[in-house]
Amino acid sequence: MKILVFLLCFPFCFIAQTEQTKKNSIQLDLGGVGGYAGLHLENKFFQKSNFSLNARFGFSTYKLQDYERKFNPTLILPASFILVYGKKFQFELGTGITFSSFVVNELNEKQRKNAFSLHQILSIRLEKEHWLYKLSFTPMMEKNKRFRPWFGFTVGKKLF
Amino acid sequence: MIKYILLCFILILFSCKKESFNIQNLNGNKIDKLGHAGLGIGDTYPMNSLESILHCLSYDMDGSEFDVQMTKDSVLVLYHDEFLESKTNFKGKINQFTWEELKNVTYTITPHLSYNLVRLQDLFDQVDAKKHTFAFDIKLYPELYSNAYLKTFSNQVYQFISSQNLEDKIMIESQDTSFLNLMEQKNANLKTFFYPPNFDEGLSAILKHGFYGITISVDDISKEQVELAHSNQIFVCLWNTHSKKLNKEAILKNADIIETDKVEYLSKLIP
Repeated sequence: MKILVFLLCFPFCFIAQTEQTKKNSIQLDLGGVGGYAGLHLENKFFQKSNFSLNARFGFSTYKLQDYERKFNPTLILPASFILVYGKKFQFELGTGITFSSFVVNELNEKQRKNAFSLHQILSIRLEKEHWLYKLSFTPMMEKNKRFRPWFGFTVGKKLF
Repeated sequence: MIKYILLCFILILFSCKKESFNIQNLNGNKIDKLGHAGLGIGDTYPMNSLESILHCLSYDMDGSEFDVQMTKDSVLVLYHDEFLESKTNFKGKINQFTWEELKNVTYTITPHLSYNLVRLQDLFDQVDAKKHTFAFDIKLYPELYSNAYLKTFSNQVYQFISSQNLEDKIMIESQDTSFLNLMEQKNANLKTFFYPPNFDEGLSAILKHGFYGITISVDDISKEQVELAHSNQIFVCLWNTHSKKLNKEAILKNADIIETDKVEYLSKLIP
């Protein structure tokens, strides 16, 4: 009987996590590295005391249709590495690259144009129970060496 | 239960009823629907870009308005602002450069996207212009523009219109009566629209010079003033219709033409 009870509890020893140990979160940006908005997944892949290193991958779009109203979405895919310091109230410093792909009319033809831009991240982050909130300065260095100061606000939920 | 279903059915039926308007104007009681530089303010396509205008024309629209400027070598280009740096990756004014110097200029207003500055010819190479109406909003930005400059600009515009046989399909809008007069001297049948600081000045100038119409913000003209214009055989084009409410207001004022920032909405609202 004792063995049976132990075996029943055994899996839950691994599934149960505190909020501190949850390494993954899903985040919704307003502004930020995706432009006007974006959806991101963040993973904490390394931690030592109050420092952690996170990887963040996202997706954003401006249009699902092209100028002929055919399904041909704009794709904006940011990827970042972020150094995080703190416990509940944290600072973030990060850098990354954004791939964008969008449809243009060039030489009288519909063409897909791709571009890369670099971005930096400087944020303050608050974690409360299942949730996290961020205010970020996310300047971008786009094609033609154009520097664009930019900002973002993030709400996220911690997952597994 | 049956009564409930019937009530729901009736509610759905009446909620789907299309709004109808009793339009009374000089345009055969119909309103020409034009996009404002394509899809208008606020879209991720920059205003006056090829993509914005082509997207506008893909809806049930009669055409589009766009802003026309002239380069140093007399090429007609679509761009609104006085300075290139406000919306593009270049610096200066359109009329300071040749087209060769401007052809790689791109709009940078939307993060991660870039669209090219475009010539008027590039747009007309891609559209069946006879199926649409286009409004050329002539932008005159040189520090001091001379009669010679106006003459060259008006020559280029008229040469373009006549080469495409579009004299009856193009509206010419300008804040400068001298420019409009130069256009009318080339062809008295051109649709010249004066863009005045206020309605009263506009009416006075149009009656004096014999222009075709007035182009004015929907906020700056009343329904009674539209009627007054119509009684003087002056066509009325309304713009600054950047909300659903303002589009409806323009219709209720019996405009002949609406230049809208809500292209999809207006294209469905009136036939």
